[in-house]
Amino acid sequence: MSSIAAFDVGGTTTRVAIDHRGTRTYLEVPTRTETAADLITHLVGTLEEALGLAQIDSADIGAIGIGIPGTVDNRQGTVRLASNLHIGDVPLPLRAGLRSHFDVPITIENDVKTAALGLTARIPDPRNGTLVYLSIGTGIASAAIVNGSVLRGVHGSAGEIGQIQLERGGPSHHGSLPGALEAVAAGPALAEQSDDPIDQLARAIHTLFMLFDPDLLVVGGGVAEADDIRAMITDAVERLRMASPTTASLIEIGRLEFVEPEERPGIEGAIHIALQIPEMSDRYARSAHTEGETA
Amino acid sequence: MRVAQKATRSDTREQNATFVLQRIWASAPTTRAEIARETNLTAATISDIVGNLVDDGIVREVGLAASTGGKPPVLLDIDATSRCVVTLDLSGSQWIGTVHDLRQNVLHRDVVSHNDLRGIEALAAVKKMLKDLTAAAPFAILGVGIGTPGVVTTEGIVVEATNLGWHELPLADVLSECWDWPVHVVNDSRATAVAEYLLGDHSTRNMLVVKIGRGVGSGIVLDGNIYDGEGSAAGEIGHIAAIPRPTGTVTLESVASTRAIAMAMASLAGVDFDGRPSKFIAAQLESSPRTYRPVVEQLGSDIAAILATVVGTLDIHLIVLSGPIDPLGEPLLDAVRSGLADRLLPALSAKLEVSFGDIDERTAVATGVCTYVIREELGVA
Repeated sequence: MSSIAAFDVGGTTTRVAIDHRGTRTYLEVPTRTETAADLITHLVGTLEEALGLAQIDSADIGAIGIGIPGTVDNRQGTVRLASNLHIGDVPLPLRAGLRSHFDVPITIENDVKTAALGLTARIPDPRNGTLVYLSIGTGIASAAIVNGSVLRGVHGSAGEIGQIQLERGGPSHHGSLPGALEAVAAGPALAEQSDDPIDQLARAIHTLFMLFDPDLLVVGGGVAEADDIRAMITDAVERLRMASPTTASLIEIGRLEFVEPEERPGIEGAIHIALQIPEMSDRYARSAHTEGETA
Repeated sequence: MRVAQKATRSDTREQNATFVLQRIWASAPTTRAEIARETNLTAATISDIVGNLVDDGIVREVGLAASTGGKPPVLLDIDATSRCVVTLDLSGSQWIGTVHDLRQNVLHRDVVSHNDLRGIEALAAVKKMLKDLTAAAPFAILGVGIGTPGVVTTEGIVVEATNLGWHELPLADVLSECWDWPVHVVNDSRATAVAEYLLGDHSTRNMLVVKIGRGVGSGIVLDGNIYDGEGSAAGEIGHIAAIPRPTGTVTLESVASTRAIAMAMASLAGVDFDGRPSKFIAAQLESSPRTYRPVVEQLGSDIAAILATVVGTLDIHLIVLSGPIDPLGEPLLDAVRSGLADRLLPALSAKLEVSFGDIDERTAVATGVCTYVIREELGVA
């Protein structure tokens, strides 16, 4: 029981990592699900495949952590409103579905919140610090770790910054307000590299800095991997910050960072949440440093 | 190929260093005195070389041996955690990246589905995976090794890799431009043969290792050496068009790749095949093994048709099949054996052994490439 499985589930790609006493096996496969129920079979198959590659027995898995899009209720072990996984209003009982195959503690968290947790290793005091993660991909969302804890809100939807309207009017995206951040500055719009989406993002980042005064604000998601886009975002935030003596003194531009392409914050975060199960974290801490101990 | 020249003084020094490292590698923990007995080098030379190896971190002093009268000698061992070897196996539809320590323990593994990537896109994906892997490497990197399908020269030029759409691609040079580490490129079947020969439990210096997967190829071990051929294309049995079919002769790859096997099974059973061939083959054979006997027998006969000439010409007594074909089991091996028996002198076929690989087929290429890199960089393994 000394291994941990960590999932980073996405609409196009599913990633799973098995951490066996510090040795990682990471598997990336396409997500090919047609219904919500397919997801369980898909995740079980993917984990079994990774176990085969790692040559680890499934009985060796002691805990599973899962980061997944949508609104997650970890107490119930359910996910809803993840349209790219065909999950609608009806909660999918993810934990119950996986439990019949892997009878171990399973922790589920929203993917952006999971990635934010995965990034907390960057701040000096992860247990008490504050970190904001802004994910810019085909959609835009943020997550905040405040004083060491995930900020969830009543529905688990805290941080849905893609839905805020920074300017009146403009295009709409999947039923968002006209001109919502996600509609004007997500993947497709940003790829054009015009000033407008960059300015909108800079305003969102500026806002997050003002709201949370974080140790770090980290920008990630597929789009933010390109060097030129990173530079444009940093410049735009810098311009905005310097436009006011107040914000110039409140925001340190060095606290704006980016996810590096080789980083896997979603996986790191999923391992992090699997380790939240107290007995697992004890056992793991022991086995990771004790060679030759039997599982 | 290297041309023999008279050894210069620095060549000799390098050679001696390799001898010493080989002794430590093979008989660790060992002592300076023990190495002196085995190599006939002077104590001063050995101390000098060991000193350098310890400074490099590759060798470390691990304690004291029992005294044989006088000061107890210091024990020397390889420090497995002094260097990493990063390997990337491009032979399947899932690419497997591995970070190994010097004793080939796996430290990290990345497996990514790259089904239909070709040409420039495939090259970009290779760079991306190497970037991730090298970032995950916990120690200094000794070298990077790529196991790829296709014809590869010893300079690391991929002459032709049909499945990846690469033609005359100087892969080692291209990757060396991005990173400072030495890059080695090895044909995937040859890497599998290296793994089977050096790490498998086979007691022979001659063998033919057939790798069946997305493509079909082989690695030929002759007198304990991997045989490259004049143009680095030795062992490319998948592209020999000598399988008789009603429509004419076809290549071995067109009938024996995992995809071809899966399609033959699907058409026999009248079911749809989609997804990964290896999964399909395993699932079908598990549910109804008997149904597929004709497919297995045909496959064995086709493999034998190509191998008979090679084995008969070279007097090779061991054929190893490697790939996700273990589910085809003993019936496949029997079919290959009987196909060969039909075509060879009884005296030869009686001695012929046909078996599945000893090394897990999913890790064989990585293991072989890792061994190759350690060998090229340190002269050991």
